Formats: sequence, structure tokens, C-alpha cells
Amino acid sequence: MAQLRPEYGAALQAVETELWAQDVLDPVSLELCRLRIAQLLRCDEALAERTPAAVAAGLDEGMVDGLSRWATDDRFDARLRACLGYAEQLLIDAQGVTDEHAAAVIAAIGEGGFLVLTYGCGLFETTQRARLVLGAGRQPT
Amino acid sequence: MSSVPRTSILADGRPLGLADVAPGLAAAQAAFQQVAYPGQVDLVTRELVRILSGRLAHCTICRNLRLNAAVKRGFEESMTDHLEDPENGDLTDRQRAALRLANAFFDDPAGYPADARAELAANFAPDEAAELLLDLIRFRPGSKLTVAAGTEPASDELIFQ
Repeated sequence: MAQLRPEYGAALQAVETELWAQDVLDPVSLELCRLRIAQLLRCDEALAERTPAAVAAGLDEGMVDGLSRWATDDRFDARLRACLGYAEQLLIDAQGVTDEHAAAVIAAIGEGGFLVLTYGCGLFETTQRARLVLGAGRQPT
Repeated sequence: MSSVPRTSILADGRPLGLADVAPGLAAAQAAFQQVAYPGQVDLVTRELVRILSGRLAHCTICRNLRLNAAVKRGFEESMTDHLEDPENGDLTDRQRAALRLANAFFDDPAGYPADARAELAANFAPDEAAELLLDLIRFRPGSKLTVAAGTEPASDELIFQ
């Protein structure tokens, strides 16, 4: 897809590069949210991938295995739970984010983290939707 | 909807935004917007897809923004009456195909039907279809940021730009 509109595609790639290069939200939290969105959208292709920055930062595959149980799994601390709950809410309905919810996320990861996570989750969602609509995201059952 | 910013207000009166905390990311996002236009697909079709994306994200700015350049090229407000059910609107085949893609993208992307895929291919060259998909990737993250950060306008009126 991106090759067909090289300049536009390169601009998207630059956004993705900068998302992982920013320093206000750690790559492991970001990656776990990306993978949770892939689980919910059933984008198997995205779920099978690992972002190098997250791996380099110590992404724990055990946590990936327990990702669908993040709300009760002890490996997920309050900070990660705030991120993952927020990522799920954004995917379902950004209008459903309440002042209290946003304040809780900001308390967990700061205002910068909140802004980056919000934009990042939107990007994860749409890039995964693009894969799915192209018929490339989901493995046959 | 919240039009009360959820981040700190800076000395210049603006709420803290992405450019203040992640300038590289914000600059890349801005470049992504800039490079999107003029593009290969006619602006009216792209405008319809953009408005539908804004509606489905419940973003006040995105669903109400109207690009003057699209209006000059034939965009009419009545075209937005059937964005969610384009088969019922007075739209061109090309507009219908683009809107069917957009509706599938946001509703059930894995279920994008073969007939709609064929309709898209019949109405758009591969690079044009790629442009529509890149548009769909681009629109929503900014919409969600606007909504969640509480920076939507208080009024729900059309904005011409």
C-alpha cells in the first residue's frame, strides 16, 4: 500500500518511527497497548510482531501471554493497568473517556504519556484496520 | 464530549499538546497531514471519507470541518446525508465505493466484502486506493487525541476552512 504512494507512505513511516523514539512513554507500555488492540481487533499479523524498541527495553513475553487477563494478572501493575484500560476505552469509544478516567491515566503516566498514548493507540488501531481491510491481518481459522 | 482541556494550560493560554511533549512525533504528524494533499483522488470524495471518519470517531471538529477547497470543487452538504449508507444517497459510483471502504474499515475491516473490493478496484487505480487507505489511517488518531484531550469546541457547528 505505502509503496503505491511513496511520499505519503514514507510520512506514515516517519510518524511510526517518531512514536517509538519519543521519551515520555516507555516502549514496553506502548507495545503492550499495541498488542492489546491487536487482540481486540483480531489482527493476527500485528499480534505476531514485536517492535524492536520494546524488545530492547525488556518486553516480557510472559506478560504478552497474560495480556488478555491484564486486569487480574499480578504481573500488570497499576500503571500498566491504567494504560491498558485506557487503550481499550479509546478503541471502543474515545467519547467514553471521562474526566476521571483521563486524570487517572495522567496520574499514572503523566500528561506527556497520556497525549502520546492517545495518539499512539489511534495509530495502532487504524494501521491494524488497514491490514484487516486488505485481507492481510487475520489468519484463516 | 469535553471541551474542557484535560491537560495543563500553558502560559500562552494553550493546553499542553503533543508538540510540547513529543515535538518529533508532532512534527511527523504535521508532515503526514501536509503530504496528504493534493493527492490523486478528487477532493470531494476524500472530503466525504474524512467527514465519515470524524462522525464515526464522534469528533466535533472532524465531523464539522468543511474544506473550502472541496466546496469549490463541488462538495455539497446534502452529500453527507448518506455517508453511513452510501447506496441510498445521490452519490457517484466512485464516492459510493470509497464510502463502502471507509464504513468497512471502521465497522468490520476483516469483513470487507469481495463485491465492495471489486467495486473499489473498478473505480480507483491502485495508487488511488492506497491514498484512501492512508487517509483512513491518518484521520482517526488526531480525532481521538482531540476528543480524549478535551480540546473539542463547545459549539457543534460547521467550520469552513
